[in-house]
Amino acid sequence: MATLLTRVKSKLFIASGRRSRSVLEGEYASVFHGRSLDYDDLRDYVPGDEVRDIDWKATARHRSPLVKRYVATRKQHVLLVVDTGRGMAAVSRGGEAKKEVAIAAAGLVAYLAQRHGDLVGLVQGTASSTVAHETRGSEAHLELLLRAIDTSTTLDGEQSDLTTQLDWIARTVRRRHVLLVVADDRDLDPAIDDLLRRLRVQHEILWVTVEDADPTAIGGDRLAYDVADGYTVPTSVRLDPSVREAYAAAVARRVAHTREVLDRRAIAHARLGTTDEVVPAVFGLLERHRRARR
Amino acid sequence: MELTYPLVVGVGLPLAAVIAYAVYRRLVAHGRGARAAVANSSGLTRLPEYQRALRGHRLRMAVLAGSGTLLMVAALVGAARPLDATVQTPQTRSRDIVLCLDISGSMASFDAELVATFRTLVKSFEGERIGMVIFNSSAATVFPLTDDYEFINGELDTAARALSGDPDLESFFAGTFNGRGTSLIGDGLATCVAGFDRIDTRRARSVVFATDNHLAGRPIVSLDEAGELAKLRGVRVYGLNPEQEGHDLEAAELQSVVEGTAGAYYRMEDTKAVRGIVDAVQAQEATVIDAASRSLHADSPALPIAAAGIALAGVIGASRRWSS
Repeated sequence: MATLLTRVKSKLFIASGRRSRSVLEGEYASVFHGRSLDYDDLRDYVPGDEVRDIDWKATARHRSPLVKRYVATRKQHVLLVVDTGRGMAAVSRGGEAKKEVAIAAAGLVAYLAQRHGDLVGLVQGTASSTVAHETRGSEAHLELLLRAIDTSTTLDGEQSDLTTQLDWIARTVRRRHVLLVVADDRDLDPAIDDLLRRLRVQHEILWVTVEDADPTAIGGDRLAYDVADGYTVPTSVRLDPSVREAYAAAVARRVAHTREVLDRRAIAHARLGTTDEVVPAVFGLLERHRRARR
Repeated sequence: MELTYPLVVGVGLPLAAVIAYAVYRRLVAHGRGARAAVANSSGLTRLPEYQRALRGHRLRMAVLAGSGTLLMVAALVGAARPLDATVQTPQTRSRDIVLCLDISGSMASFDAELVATFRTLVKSFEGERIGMVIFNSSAATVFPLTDDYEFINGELDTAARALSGDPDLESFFAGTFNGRGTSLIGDGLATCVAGFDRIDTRRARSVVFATDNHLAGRPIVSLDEAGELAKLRGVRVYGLNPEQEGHDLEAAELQSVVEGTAGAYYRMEDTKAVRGIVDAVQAQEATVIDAASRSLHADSPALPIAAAGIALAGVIGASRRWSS
């Protein structure tokens, strides 16, 4: 049986190939390096590496740029914060379940972190409950975390509310973490904004929004119903051109608002609609995060 | 409203309901097969455009459902052939008048004129039942008591042409030469008096008796006896004599018989004759008689067809918007 982590890895290889895979690792490393004074070795420069890490003397002797590698002294703690309410079991923009996209995104970042030698933990939950998993650095542990996300996200589960998890972290987590928040596609209310303001001080935050399927674009051969209350959206109404137009405008407004809120808190964010977008989107996310830190 | 085949509705409606339910179940089962779970649809359902479209959608569905039901019911009712049953009680107002014309040789020169007089009378008697009898040696009914004025006028036309000597209409006189003699006045009057139907009902009955009373032969019934018969049956006889010159015994006899039946006697030249007869007849109380009431059944598909038409327009209108 193909494990969830294997799926994440294969996505990485298929989508980017070996070369850009190392690019992605380089990107991660340059963002979340724990630098020390202990020089380890030199390696080829890959786009994404910090320019100040280039060993100019070695490069001068060599044909291509070389980068100094240090022994990481401090291990980063990456905390996956994943919404596992029933909203995440619904259909994503690409047609898969949203949790697949969430697992792909969380899995990719976790894998990069694990490869880098960092520790990965998970906080998952719904509007009413929060479950925290240990922070460890093995691939088996990653698999466990992804499985936990997969099994707890069901159509008959609890409603989604990320405020609960963020509040739990703000109250409970003392250590500095890198937070990867995988959120449902809904408007950020002031409560979340306030929590982000507090968390931002203590942690580094990466934000991934998993996009909902557009009800006005789901074919007329299927009935679209809301997972929250089972309400079936009348097909002829959701396919109405004027409704579609208005919905597109409303989505654009919400996206703009989310971006505004997160930008104000200097939080790098990405929107994901399918698992195919995960690799480039995570790359862009890391890139933006690095820029934001400077 | 009655139905010719009530069974069509009785069986059709439950059947249609069963079919509609089966289709509904199928649709539901089909819908369950392909469903997409979406989250956060409130972002869509909160939109005013959505609310408006939803109202429109609901209205269309309501129209569609209503029209569909109406169409089905109208089609079934139409198929069951609704009947319009009207109970008709034809009322005949009625005075009965028999025009009684002597066509013996002595009268030949006056007959055309008398028919014209009859025609004037008929015009005044609009609404009454009129019959006509001609007699010579025996009496023949030209037409029995009827209120079909078109027919009456037609017959009077024929009579006028026949009496003015049209050779094509010899048959008009058929049946008037069967007696002994030529001009049997008493027999003629008796036949006219016997021409009334429903003698057991109280009706105003009159005979307009046009004759010169020139008897030539041996009648079965004498004029006096005929007068008695008329009196017995409550028939008033109005005499119309075209040929009275001075003192005339026959005319006097006629006058006495006629007046004995509470009728009146006129000379044809008398300009008051027509008016007098009309007034006298109309002075008698008309009795309204009810004919036997009968119920008439006629297909009346107008209502179901109109309803089905409207419903069809509704179905087409609603489903066109739906599919668009």
